[in-house]
Amino acid sequence: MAEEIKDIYWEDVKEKYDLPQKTRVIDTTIIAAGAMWASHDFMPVHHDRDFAQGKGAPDIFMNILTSNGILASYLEQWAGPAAKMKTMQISLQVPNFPEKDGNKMDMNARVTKKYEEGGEHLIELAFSGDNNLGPHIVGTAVMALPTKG
Amino acid sequence: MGKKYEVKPFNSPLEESLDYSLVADLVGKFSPQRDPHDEVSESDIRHWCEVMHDANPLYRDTEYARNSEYGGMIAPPAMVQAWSLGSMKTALNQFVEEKLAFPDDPNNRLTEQVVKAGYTGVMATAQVQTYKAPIKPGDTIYFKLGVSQISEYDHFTRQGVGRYYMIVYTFENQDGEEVCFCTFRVLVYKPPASTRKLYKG
Amino acid sequence: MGINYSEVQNHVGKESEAIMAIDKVSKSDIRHWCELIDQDDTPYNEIDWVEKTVPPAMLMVWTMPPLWSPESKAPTAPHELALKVIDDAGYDGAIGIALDQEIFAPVKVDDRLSYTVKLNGVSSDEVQTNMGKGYQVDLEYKISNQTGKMISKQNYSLFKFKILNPVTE
Repeated sequence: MAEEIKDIYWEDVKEKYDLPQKTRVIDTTIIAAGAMWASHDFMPVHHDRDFAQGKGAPDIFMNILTSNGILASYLEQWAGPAAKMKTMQISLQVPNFPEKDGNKMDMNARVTKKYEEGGEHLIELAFSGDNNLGPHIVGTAVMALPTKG
Repeated sequence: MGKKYEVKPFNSPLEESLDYSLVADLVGKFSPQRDPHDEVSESDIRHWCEVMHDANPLYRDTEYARNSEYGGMIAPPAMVQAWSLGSMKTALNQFVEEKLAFPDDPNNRLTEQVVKAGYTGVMATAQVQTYKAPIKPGDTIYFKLGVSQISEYDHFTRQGVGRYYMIVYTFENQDGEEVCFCTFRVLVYKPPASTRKLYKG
Repeated sequence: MGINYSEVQNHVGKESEAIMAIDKVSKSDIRHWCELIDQDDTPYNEIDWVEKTVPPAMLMVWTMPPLWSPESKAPTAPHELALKVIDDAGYDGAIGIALDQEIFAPVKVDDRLSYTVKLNGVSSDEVQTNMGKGYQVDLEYKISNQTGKMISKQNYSLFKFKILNPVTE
């Protein structure tokens, strides 16, 4: 089933609103395809298990572009296609490793601020992606939302 | 009034530290503008969206996108850097053979100095991307990168004694329009002796 | 044991409707292929795209299913239905064993390809190989471009087998 396309209007958003949580399975395919296929990142720590272990890591791990992309996509899909991503600010903590029994990343976000600036109707969101080791990515984003006016 | 604490510069008394004067001139310098290996294509946008599980019709539905304010398909803004990473060969040369494509770029000259001074651990700590204009299939995304800050003294961090620096990227399309500005904060550190055997770098 | 052969037989000799390739033929996909297969990493702006034709060995790339799709698609084509019967009987290992390609016309950048798949046959008896016991499935792909011109015909055989020592850990 395709998800319904719907837009969130600025007027309908309240500060302290929590977005519905989404969860992604973090496996070898998504880490390797995310690095090489989606973001053209061929650093071997993201696709070559032996290389990654030779560098002291327990396994391959997700590259920054993919982590940033998954979270940006989580926020954009909640807001709908009429929203515009203005800023993504992230910091990275524990890596996203694949695991045999399935590592998962839970994504959460909260509207922290609602304001107008430069003729745009903006919201600021604080978000995080947590895996079974702890927080993988935390950050804030600014998006412009459509208005009903 | 609370007491005002002053942050004192710290240099490790036990080990040699990075001599800031060796890298001071790199602050504010940029690489030449670099060409991407690919132009923006609908197929690459699809690959990205499938990994992200992104069903946004602006990125995948030509008909929907044609009737939108953009007049056609666009790329997810967060994908901007995908066009700056060079070819597979360039990457493998750099990460496996340790041969840099552009050793004279300010960021690479900085890396050379910090590694020489013993800061062999590297960790990206924060990235900020500001998106300024939409990216469309057929666009060419040029970029350049520079160094905007280097800490002048050592910091105690969870990873060990280290220095922070900031890399900045600007991305422009073929019309000279800036599509994204990005800052990337990096911590380089001296892995504590007990963990050093884990690192070959 | 084995598969329900008559159920599979229903689909033999039947051809799918035309299936559109998900992507147009793009410079980036061709360049990525050349980089990996030919070890040629010439950037796109130094390639003469008027002259450049798609490497024929790359044609099947445009018939590949997506990694993920928001729309779930149940199998409808004869070969998909037959493969599902075989999969469901526990023969879920797959390995390509032969590919014959005939090329009739070059493929160029921006072409929009479509293809049909015909199930030419399924071996009537289980075949024992080093991989395990299974069935040979013969498929015929016909690939056309946007003008309707057939540009390639490919016979592809795969071996569907029961995995001998599945990792159960």
